[in-house]
Amino acid sequence: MGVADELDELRGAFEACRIAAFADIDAQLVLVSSSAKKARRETLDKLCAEAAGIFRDSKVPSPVVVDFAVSQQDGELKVFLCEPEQRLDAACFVCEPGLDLDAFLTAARSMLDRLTQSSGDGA
Amino acid sequence: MSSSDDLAGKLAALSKSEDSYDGSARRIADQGMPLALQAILTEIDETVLTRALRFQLDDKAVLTVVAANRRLLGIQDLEGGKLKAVDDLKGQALSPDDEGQLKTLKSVLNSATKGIQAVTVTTAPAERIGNQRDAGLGIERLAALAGLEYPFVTPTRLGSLLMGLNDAITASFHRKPGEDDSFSGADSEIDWLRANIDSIITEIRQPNCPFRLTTIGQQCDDLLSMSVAIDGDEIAIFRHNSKACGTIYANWTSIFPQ
Repeated sequence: MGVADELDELRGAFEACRIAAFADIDAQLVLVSSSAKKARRETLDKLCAEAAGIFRDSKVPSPVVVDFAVSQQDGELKVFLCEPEQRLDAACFVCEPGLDLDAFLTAARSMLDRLTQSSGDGA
Repeated sequence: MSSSDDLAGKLAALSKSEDSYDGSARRIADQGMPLALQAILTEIDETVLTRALRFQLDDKAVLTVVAANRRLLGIQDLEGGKLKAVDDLKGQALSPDDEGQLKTLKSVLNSATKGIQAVTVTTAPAERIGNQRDAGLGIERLAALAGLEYPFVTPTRLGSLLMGLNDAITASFHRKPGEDDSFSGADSEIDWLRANIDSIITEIRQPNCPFRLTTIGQQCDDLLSMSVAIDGDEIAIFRHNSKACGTIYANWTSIFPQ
């Protein structure tokens, strides 16, 4: 299954997920996205910049090692996950506050593992 | 609802028109405000005639006590609480001088109300427990026994969040304007929080953000997640199990409607 299909499938399983994106943290670039309504480029760029700020630039004291982040403000829930080893790729989501967060985090982690695994295999 | 319930509800509503009701039961705590135990002790303090006070604690337990002269005379029953200690107190007159009994009472009150968000109360005439007029315990003694500051202080929204998440949090820091910082949790975790508060706040805080909750951590590690909650000038930082995220965000949403 391709990246776009994976994002579509996850969004389909969680109605509260409005935007799903797969991003290159280093390049600060959203590579693929999925949304019910077409997401503005600025929205995706901002989402990607937030992911880079969390996973690449932040100086969170050890022993907290960050491979996921959740933030709720202004009526929306943002979820970020990165692959923990090389920290090159991230999945970013904008959701409604009613999201089943625990189930979503588990499903999104599985999806990211599959995506990073297949990109590592050269797929 | 039966007609007698309906009538009881109307009569109760007439006596305290500003209160909210769930059928004939008066709601005395909601979404963790005030604290469940604080609400129960206040109710006892407002009871002059001998009454059985039946407290519904979320949908988990029902605590029935007998109160009179603004004192707790005894515990009548605790249904659903799974607390064996309560058997030692059922129907017994409480004495301010019985240290063993007080220790059991403290355990029962704190355990039965831990993490409870909503409390309703119904009252009914009751047989008095004990004969002496000065029997039982007044609110100051009960508050001290339960470790509550008295007179009661209404918690802030972040204070309520922390109290509601008591079971999920391993350590917390709470800063309120005009008050000393407060910490709770294991010493090693508090030491870590003390050493890192400023850098965490610098990392997380954003301007022009009235209230916000941010969680960061390692998903595969159950112990190393941390959340930062901001409400204006008030801030709380707490460490917790990564698997508690759903509970934390559900509590946040109930206190800070989106």
